[in-house]
Amino acid sequence: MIAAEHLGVRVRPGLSAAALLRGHLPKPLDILIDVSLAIAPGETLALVGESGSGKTTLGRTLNGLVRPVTGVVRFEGEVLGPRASDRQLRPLRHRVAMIFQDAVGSLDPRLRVRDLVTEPLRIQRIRPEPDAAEKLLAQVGLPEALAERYPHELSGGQARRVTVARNLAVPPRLIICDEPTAGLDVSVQAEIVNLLVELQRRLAIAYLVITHDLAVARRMSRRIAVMYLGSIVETGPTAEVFAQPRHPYSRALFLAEPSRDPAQRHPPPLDGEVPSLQQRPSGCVFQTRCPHVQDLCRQAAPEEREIAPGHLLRCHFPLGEDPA
Amino acid sequence: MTAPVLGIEDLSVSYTTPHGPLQAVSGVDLSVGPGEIVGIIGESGCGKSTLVAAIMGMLPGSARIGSGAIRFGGRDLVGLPREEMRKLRGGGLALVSQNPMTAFNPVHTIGRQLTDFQHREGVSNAVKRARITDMFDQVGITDPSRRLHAYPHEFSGGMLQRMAIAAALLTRPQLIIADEPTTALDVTLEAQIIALLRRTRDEQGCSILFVSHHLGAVAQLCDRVLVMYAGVVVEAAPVAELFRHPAHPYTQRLLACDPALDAGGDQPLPTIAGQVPNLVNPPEGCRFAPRCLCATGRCVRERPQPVELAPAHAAACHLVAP
Repeated sequence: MIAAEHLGVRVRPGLSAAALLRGHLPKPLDILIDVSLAIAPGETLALVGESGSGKTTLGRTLNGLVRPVTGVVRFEGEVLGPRASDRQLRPLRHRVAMIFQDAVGSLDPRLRVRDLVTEPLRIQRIRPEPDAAEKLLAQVGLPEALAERYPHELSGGQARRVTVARNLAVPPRLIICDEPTAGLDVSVQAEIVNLLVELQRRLAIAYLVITHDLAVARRMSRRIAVMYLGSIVETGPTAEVFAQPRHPYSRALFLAEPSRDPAQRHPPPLDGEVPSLQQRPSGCVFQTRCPHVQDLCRQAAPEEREIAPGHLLRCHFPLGEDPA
Repeated sequence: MTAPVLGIEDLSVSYTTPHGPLQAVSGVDLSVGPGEIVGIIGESGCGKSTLVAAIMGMLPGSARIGSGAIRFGGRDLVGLPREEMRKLRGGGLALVSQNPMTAFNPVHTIGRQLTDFQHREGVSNAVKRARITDMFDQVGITDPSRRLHAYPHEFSGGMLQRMAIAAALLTRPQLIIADEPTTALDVTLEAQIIALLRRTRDEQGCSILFVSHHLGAVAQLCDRVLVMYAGVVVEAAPVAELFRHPAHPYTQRLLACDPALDAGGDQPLPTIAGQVPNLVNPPEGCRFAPRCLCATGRCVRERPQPVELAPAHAAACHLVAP
């Protein structure tokens, strides 16, 4: 349904007078490099990785908010490349909805919930039915009484539900959920996950779930993509990738997740931090922290290849059958 | 058992609101032994932050300590004169806060700030700087002498959190209060900070009070855990016991609805129906009764007292049997 092919996104940091006087032109930063993925109708793909890995930028590119410098986004027969006009991007923006990470911040503080949830209808010049707001709130399990409230009067969980309701006003084909559970209490997280799963079952919407919470990814998705420093390093069926990660970064990421079993305490799997985008390592993006790094990794970036049906990997030396 | 480093007895704190006093913390008992890491878990509004502020003497003006004692270093911190309290902060008591980005002053270099933190030491600046580079080494900051001249914005969150821990250690604390220290960090950094806190305890022998809503972090780090709900401690147990045999219905539900413990499958995740009660008019009996699936008439009428179930394991619930 939607596919990204070899996307590259580059930003040019803002010019500052001081830098110009010193004769420095800021170097453009590559946020995404050669990223490809596809999402089928009604499917959930989870996108995991740490801050700065480019998860959100990828989401925004699929939604038409960011234009790639290379590659294309294919959506329902349209091919949208670096030169796509706003007019061409319009169907993408209308049918691919986005739930932003900061739920309260994404709602206009001067509008009541009633107007917030029906705003997408007005933007698309559809006259809302008189009970449209109530119907939308009911779909996300919120009481009608909430329709008269302002965003600051909502709890974190309620605000999250309102953003979901807004996205349902004009039925989307795909919802990009950017950290749908971040900042919520454990029991409220479970409620939001249940809500999204139930809506998908009823309305056959596809999701791209961007999250740093591996448990949420495991729960919600059939397929998962692991990002590191602007590249997808591994993609595959969720169960398979969790059971046997083949990329050293995927494995380290999964091991770092603190276990709920106090008897299982292990040392941190990775030292150091994600390198800055200004100092992107040569060769493989993960070579500076990889426990299995070899000379080849420092010299050449690995190509993406299929190691099992639907399981793609970017690594010269995939982890073996027994990752112990 | 040796005397605890921190001993809180029957502490109650309320805030003044237009609707009446809001009872944020009610009758909390807590002790942290020498070299012990005690965790406090709870969801928003359970009183964790109020408890931390009360210990640090940083409650806002609208707060009032209704009853209880906070014993630290042989003194009761409740009602301690401001000047005395000020001497304790950074001298025996240290706080590592949730957001490392705002823990430092953005207009001074890291070196200047960490030197200033040692103003009580009475040694030369050169000695102070040597201590800082030493401490940076211990918390895993590479190239320590160059870092002294950098400003906070030049560091990543993980690096700043290491520096905040280094800053706490420079004051030779008996007790570090770590208030959600890993919440703002990515998972691989979180694992590093947890390991660092544990090593700090092992090497320096200080006690740590670790406040978090992240069950995994608590399981990985703490020796003993308290579970708070709506201002009261509902359960306290050694960490393994708590995760294996949670006794209080709230603890059981909280553990069950954690997506990380999910076995998978198509069943919806369990949730806790209802909301945290309004603490201006808290429920008369058990505070969890309105949301508890097994609440009885007695739970609604009578406030449960902690019942000891096993050594060091107690739950405040009418339904648990010793």
